[in-house]
Amino acid sequence: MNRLRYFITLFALSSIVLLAFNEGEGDSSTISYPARWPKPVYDFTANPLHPLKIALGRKLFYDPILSKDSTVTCANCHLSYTAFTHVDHALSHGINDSIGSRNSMALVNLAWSKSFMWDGAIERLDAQALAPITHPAEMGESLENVLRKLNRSEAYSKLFEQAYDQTPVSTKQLLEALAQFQLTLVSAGSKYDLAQRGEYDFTEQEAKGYRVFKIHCNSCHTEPLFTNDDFENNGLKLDPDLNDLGRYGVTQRPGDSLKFKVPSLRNVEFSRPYMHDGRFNTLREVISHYESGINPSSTVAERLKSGIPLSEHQKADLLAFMLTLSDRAFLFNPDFAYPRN
Amino acid sequence: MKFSLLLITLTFALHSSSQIPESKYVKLTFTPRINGESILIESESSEALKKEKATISNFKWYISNVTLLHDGKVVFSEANSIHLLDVSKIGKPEISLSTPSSIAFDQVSFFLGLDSTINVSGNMEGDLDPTLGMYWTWQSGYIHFKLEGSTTEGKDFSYHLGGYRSPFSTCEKVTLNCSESWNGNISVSIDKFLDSIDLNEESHIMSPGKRSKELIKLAALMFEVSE
Repeated sequence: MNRLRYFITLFALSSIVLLAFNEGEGDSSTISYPARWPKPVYDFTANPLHPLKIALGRKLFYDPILSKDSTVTCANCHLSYTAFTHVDHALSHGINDSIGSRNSMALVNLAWSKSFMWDGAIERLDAQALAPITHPAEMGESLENVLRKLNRSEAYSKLFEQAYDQTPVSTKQLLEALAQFQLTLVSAGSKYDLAQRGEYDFTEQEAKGYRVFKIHCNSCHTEPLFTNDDFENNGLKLDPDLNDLGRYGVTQRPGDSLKFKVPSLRNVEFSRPYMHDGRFNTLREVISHYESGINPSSTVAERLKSGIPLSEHQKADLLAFMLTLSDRAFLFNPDFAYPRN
Repeated sequence: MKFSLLLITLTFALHSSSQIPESKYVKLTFTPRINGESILIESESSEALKKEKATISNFKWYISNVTLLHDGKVVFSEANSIHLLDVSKIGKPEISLSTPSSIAFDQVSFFLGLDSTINVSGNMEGDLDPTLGMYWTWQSGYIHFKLEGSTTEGKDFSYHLGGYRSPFSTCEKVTLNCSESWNGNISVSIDKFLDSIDLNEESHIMSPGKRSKELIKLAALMFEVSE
């Protein structure tokens, strides 16, 4: 009887451990993520993941062949060690030292996003790469030229043919491969995530900070993705030089003026500077902004208009909590870094 | 005996049914015209062009969801109905529909443009390939109608009409009446479009929005059956 109970317990425990991670029906053509997360919105049936395609996408991500003068790669602005964004730069720069108009966004958990860019201008991940590749202040290249270069390269011709069983290299293949690599960038291993799984106990300060977060921040930076994937005006004063009206530029709806995509706070410790124009260098400045720096223009949410009341203690606690969103296993994952083969 | 009779009957039935042609091709041919005259891109040799109001350097548009109707009812609906028609290609831009041979229709209907599903999740291959120059890189979506050129006075114009986001969707339904003996020719009268715009005020439209939506409705009026 003891033996039976032993085996039943063992079985129960392993089931719990297995159920803690949802493999999307145990299927390697899609990504795996914690069981309690919402389902990804990306249509994996249209572009099922495959190791050869992921490896190809990763090679392209780190290759300056995508740029006009072979100096700019995706990784230039989306460096893996710094949350797949460009630290220390308020606005990103591209070929010929040209400066863009917005801060580079952190690439993480993209399979859950319905739209991309600070104004959501791009509504499919597969098409996103076209924007930086062809933008004159980023990679400055043409799609036709990129395909020409890839087809002329013996190495790439071979890799594409192995992955897609077709020649020549096409737009669709290029975009899908880049998307596949980016889709694998899933961050779900921070202290916060471990705490959710009962594998880590928050310190007293972190726990207090979590409570503050849930009251004041969760409505836009919604768990577990730490974004509601929507557009909000968080009270930043319009910069008259950049004159960036955000989402309004895409929809032309007055109610969207000065609204920007809510970025995920995962790995926020490493993704400075902050906001669509990189105006805040530190998280302390960000928290101060929410407490007393809100510019209550008409499209700011009511609950934010008079700022978030926080004591100095609460600000420190909140900061401590935000640091628990750092996922070093993600940031230093060798599968995401520069490919060495 | 009964079985062999059945076998013979079946063979006859199958054989005779293969004698009747099951399908035919209905060809829709689009002829771009200015003041009634057919134009070819950059054909400097044509006398007629010197009298025209404009020289066209680029003219492409998407047609999708092609259907044929009879008495107001759909009698044929094209599968995978997405076509990029490009006047700069040699010959006339055309769409070939594989229809049942017995088909009779008195109306043809199509979208000038692409619906939002295709815009957001089309396969980016063939006529949807972004290398064809009809996909905006900085914003999701296809350019549904692209007309570029210059007037005889040397004024350049460039109309990139597209966008699928409500309320500025530029997918415009076109329904044309035709006779049952129609040869499939459709005129695309460019002067009709240019005449309804003040080229001095508005020579370039390069992004989705209110004006794009208004202009695509005018563009839809370019298409007419020519018997």
